Amino acid sequence: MLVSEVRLFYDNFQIRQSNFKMSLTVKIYLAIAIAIATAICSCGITPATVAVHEVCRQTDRKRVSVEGYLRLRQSSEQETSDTSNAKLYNLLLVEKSSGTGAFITVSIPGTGSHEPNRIDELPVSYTYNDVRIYTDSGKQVTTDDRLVITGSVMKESKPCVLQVDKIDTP
Amino acid sequence: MKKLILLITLTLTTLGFANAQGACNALDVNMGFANNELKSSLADPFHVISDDMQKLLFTPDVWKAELAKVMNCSPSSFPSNWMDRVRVNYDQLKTIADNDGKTKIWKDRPFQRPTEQAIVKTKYIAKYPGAKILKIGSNYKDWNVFKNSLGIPTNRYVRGEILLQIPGRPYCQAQEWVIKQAYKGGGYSSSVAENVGGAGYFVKCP
Repeated sequence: MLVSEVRLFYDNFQIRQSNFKMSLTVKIYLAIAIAIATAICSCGITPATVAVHEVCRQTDRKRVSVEGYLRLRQSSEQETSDTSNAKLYNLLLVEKSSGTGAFITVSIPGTGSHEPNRIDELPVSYTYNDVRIYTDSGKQVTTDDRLVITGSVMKESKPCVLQVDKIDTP
Repeated sequence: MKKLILLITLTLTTLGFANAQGACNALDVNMGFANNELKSSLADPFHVISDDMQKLLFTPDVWKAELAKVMNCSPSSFPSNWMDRVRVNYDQLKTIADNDGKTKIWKDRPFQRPTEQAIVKTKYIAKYPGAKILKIGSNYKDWNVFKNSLGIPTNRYVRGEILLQIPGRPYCQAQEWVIKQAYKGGGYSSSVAENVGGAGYFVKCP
């Protein structure tokens, strides 16, 4: 009787210990998985904040956020996006509101439907009066507003182009 | 009453003028961009020059007027030294373009692709009204097929050059063209002109 009771206790202990070990292993794996997932997410989603003159020093396809003012180019050749039907416009993002300082080329999708993070399509012959920019929250802003532009650095063009996916105000 | 009207008129005129001058503040950044473009053409082994920079090289007043229009300001409001930022690269590239346009001989491409070249010609005539197409040829005898890592075709290309004379340019120029067909499981889509115009290098007219 005593022996059987001891065996039962021992068996229960083994089972509990085994369950404990398993749950600990699962917890360790879970913790590692969460850590890896967090690291991947933070690399892919959280963009680095950089100054205008630092954008083209980044690695190819790195996501960055940069502050500045949008300016029209003398000529803005438009392309069609590979991933959507939006037209892509090449504008300039300049450091200072006076239009001076460092600058980069930014490629911004343009549609005719006032969508967030887009500009309205420009007519063939355009001026500053035609530029309508929409932020992530859908607010319409102008070239007089300081903006936070987020996108991927594309180094196929020299020195680089920032392919914009998010427009915000600071 | 007359004084009030005069005051309102003066205020509106001043505001309008200030607004126009404010927009002119894209001049510096545009000249900076133009300078980078000129630098890039100088570094290119063939000295390929974009349409935009060709306009600046050969018709700077037209380029200036177009920029002024975009900026909603008068060309007369540009400072007299508006080209200072590009001057060095402008002069160098202009010398090269003038020299190439008088001496460089365009080499005929080795192959003819009549079907693709017909598409290209149509696109060029539409892009550059009044342009004269003098010669055209292909670098490829057959399609150049691109495959993914699994060996499945993704698309195929034919690439070549066209020799043309565009109004407003003092010389002939060669531009690269690309015709692409995307692979759609079992066959290729119809031909699309992927790269038509936009930049060229100057050569002596034949």
